Amino acid sequence: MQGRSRKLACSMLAGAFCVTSLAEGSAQSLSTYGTPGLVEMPTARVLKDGDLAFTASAFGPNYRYSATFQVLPRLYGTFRYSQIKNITTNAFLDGDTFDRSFDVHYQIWDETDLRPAFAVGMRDFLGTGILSSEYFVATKSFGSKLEVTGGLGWGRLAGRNSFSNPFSILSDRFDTRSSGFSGTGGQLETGDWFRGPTSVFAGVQWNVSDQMTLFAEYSPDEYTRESVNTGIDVSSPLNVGLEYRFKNGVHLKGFVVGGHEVGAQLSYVINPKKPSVPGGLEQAPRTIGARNRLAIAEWNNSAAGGGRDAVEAVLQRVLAEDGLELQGFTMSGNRATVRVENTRFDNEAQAAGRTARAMAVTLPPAIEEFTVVFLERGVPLNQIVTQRSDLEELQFDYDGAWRSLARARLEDGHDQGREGELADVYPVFDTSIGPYLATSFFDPNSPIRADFGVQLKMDYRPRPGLTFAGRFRYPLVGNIDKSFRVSNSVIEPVRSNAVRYAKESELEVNSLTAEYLFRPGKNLFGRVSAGYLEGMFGGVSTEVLWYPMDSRLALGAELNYVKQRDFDMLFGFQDYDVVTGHASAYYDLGNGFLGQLDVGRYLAGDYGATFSLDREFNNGFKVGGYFTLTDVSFDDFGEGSFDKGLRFEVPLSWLTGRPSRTKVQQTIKPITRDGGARLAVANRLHGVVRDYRGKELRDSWGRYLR
Amino acid sequence: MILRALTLGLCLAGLTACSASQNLLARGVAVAVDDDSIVPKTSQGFPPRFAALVQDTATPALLLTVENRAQTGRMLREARVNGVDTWLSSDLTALMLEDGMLQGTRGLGSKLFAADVSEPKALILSGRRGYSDRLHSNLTGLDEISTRAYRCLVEPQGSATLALEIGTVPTRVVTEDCKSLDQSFRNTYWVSVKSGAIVQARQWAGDEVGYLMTKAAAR
Repeated sequence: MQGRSRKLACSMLAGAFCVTSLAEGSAQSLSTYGTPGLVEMPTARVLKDGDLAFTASAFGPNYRYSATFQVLPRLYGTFRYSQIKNITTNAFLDGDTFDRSFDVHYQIWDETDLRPAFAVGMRDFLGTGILSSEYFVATKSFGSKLEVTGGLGWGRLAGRNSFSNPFSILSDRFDTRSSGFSGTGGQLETGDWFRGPTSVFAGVQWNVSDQMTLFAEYSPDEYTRESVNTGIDVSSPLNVGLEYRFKNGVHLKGFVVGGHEVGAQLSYVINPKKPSVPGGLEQAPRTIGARNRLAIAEWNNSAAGGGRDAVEAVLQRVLAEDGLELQGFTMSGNRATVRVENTRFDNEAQAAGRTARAMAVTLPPAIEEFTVVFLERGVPLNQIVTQRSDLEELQFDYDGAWRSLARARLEDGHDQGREGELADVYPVFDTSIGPYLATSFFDPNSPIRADFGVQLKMDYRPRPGLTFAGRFRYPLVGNIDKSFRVSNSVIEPVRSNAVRYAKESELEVNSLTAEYLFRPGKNLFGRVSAGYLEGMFGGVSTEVLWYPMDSRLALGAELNYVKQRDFDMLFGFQDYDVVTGHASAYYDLGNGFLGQLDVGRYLAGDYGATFSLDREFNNGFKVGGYFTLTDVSFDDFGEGSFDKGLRFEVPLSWLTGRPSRTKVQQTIKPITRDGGARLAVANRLHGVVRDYRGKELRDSWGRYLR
Repeated sequence: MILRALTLGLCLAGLTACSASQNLLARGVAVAVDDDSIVPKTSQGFPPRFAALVQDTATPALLLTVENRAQTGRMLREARVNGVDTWLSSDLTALMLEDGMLQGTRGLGSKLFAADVSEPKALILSGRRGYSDRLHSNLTGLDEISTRAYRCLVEPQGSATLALEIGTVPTRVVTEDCKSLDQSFRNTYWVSVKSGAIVQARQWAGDEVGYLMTKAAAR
């Protein structure tokens, strides 16, 4: 909470929006590039730590769609998809160009009373270079209304009135900058950074009111490459803009670039640290009442037909109210153990708390020690031991979360067997039929393609850990198969035939597998999967994971033998087969950062490593990225040079305030090619296990008593 | 997958054109995913847990008004443990009151988890003027508990006669002015002259929810 300022902001907003974080936009203005700035020029500002900003802008031939993430308090990164209409006279794509680009910006100094904020940044430092520029920029505010920005730019930002590069005093090589497309793109264009001529840019921002801001800037960008064919007219160096910030967090900006090109821009900033409903809207937990009153409850009273089985039935019903599925129950002496599967709470500590509460409002008074074992597919992932008297004492304590954590024991649970298993748990048979949506991004002819159809899912689990599962799809409408993209890969086309799979399949066996999850020993998890593992490959996949309960580090190894499936996505295979697998290390770096390194052999037989970094907010909101380098050369890889992607994950509970294990997740790859491609097998162990291990449980303990 | 896609779609719609309120978005998402955490109802229209309280006519009742949502509802007492009453509404949100003083919330969309109100309570119930401390622990958006202390001045403000559902009640009015470094609020309590219990109160439940008005109610 930010106290008064937040309160003020809230009172300015309409009541309903007060409880919505989605509406709490940042006051920071964004440029056409989707980064903190004026009209086109960057400022030295940053967003609030963790903020995620989405921007769409259009003027002249330029259309830019950007997502900016404030990775660290001083560092943001941007991914952009842009279109420039008619940039060439080439008939291909009507002369349009489509481009994916990445920016980074680092704020070196904060603003103080005497000193401006100072930052360095690079736009499009990885792409084909169409939008590339680098800059140093300083921004200083004067009072609350006026902000002045000035900077030095290279690349695009060095057009008008350029002068020789001041870095030339260091070395002559700073004098020249290559121009034009730089090969396949995707490589770090280090050779051009801060090279070539330099120009000055500057601008002012005038905050007319809390809702409205005026911008004026001097831009050195002459749109040299665009002006040849697109007809863009930027004869004036002056850009002006007017932004209006709606109360719901949407920023709308109108602007004029170069004196003639009128444009519009829409942006929206969300703060992952603030879920839409503070505190949540879940149903209240049951209050733990006086224990001795339970002695006379009919299920605990043997004279009234009570006893273990009656207790079990009541416990099962109470747990079911919270979406907790009771699978095993034992009770002896002063101890009781329940084994449950959590189908509702994305906060696992909350699920543990609810389970313990269900025990406390049900079990006979003599039971003092509760053990809650969480199962996934029947396999124990952990166990949490709590004293009943602690729950009774702490349920309303203002410091109850910390105190209950200090008194609980979080244990591995690997040796939990099937004792006390409920009679009707196995076999599990689950079947569901529903719609599905498959997407394909960044095809220049149609940047978003999708298939929509019906999906039948069937799961059969005869015993804990062993699951036979099938997923069948039938596309009804869609346009993925209308794409003209054909694989031009010079290496094994393990992924680039996606369009062919869509074209040649109808009823599709998306996956059909037998899977066995098990606990080989303490801190160890194992998985064996066989069958049609994913849409394009089938075979056998084996994995083992070492993940001590209280460790930041987990280590895994995976070995697969797979064969490429036929394009009809039924039961046949093509000739290509491969042994692929990785050794993986997962490390919780602290402050919400999670690193992962996978080293091994990829689907096309290439050897290499994948580096991943995710920023995970404690409420489950996740933003991350990865890249893979293998022994496939950049030229052989083709467009993009190497595999990379961004991904995000938004828990449904973040949007609705209601507990749910559903997540909205998406990986955005600028381009999908065949180098560095991994098998997409389901239920990789780290993902299945992690949320129930010690660190994640402790981090989510704030909800234990909610 | 479709779930993901649908929610993604709704989410994106919400992100790019969020002129509709979040509540609408949340409702849309909840409908789209057929949220099973929304409680099933019995034939009388209540979830079983609440229906059990309705059936027992000895269960005390409370009227709750969330001022800035202009919402009023009736709550029934589910339990009284360690001096804390848990009041439950028909949609299973709960309010914890300690002798009528707000002690905690669950499922109300408030961050307030629990409060230690022992110091102001002693002043309010005894009718004395004085300074006291109270502690609020809040659940942050990152699922962490953050605890804040407030310094509060408790002052008797004369008397008032209230017309409540339980009858006409002569009361003493007591205010509690609380401040922390950057927050302040004023709670008001109406203490029955006859029983010495708080029969009506207007209390602050945090920035998100604002003030809650509670009144003793008849069954």
